[in-house]
Amino acid sequence: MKETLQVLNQMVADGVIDGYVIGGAIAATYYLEPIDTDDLDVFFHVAVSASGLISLSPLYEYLHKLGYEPQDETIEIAGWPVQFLPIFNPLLEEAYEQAATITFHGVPTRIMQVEHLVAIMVQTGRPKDYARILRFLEAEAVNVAALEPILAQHGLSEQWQNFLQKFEINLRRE
Amino acid sequence: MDEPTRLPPEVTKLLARHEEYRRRRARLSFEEKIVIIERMRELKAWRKNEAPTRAKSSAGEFSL
Repeated sequence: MKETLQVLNQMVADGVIDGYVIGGAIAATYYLEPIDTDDLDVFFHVAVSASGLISLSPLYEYLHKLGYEPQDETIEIAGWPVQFLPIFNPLLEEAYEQAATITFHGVPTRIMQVEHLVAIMVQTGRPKDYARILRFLEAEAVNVAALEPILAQHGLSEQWQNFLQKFEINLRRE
Repeated sequence: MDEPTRLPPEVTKLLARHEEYRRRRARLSFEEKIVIIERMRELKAWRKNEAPTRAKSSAGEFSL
């Protein structure tokens, strides 16, 4: 993982991507117990060409030169399959902008704040997202008072209420 | 209204122990957690590619 993060940081330094933020199970693991996952989700800004078309070619070419090749929807970088996910909506944009900087064995990296991580799970709404949100609530790892304004701002309050109702969750509000 | 389901005390105790185990793992450093995930991935790859498979004999018994 250390080498993988070094490569990602080098991609930023070389201007291949503007920046990145880690999301998904690895980000969730930062706040919870280790979560079984096969890949590292990296959200980044897609470079838009002069024609307005989005192209991932520079990213693939750069990694190809370093000997890292695509495998299905990921690119294996130093032993970790990395899934590059474009930032495509305002919630992801906010998660990117407000990400926390942490270090992993001395290597700086950026990771989503827990409230954005949960908000994205509410938005995505897959069964595994709901299971993970439940875990965040059980572990009291998320500040609901900070989460709910984010959900409201991104039009996710109804999905949140549906989720709470579906799983019969009564939040303690202090 | 249905009565809430009461779990047997031994199950409640087991769940509490499991929760404590999860909380302990949540308190590990990020580096330690990633080592655990990497071991999980190695184990999955071993199960997929190298683990001996169970064969069923004509008598219906399983063996490695």
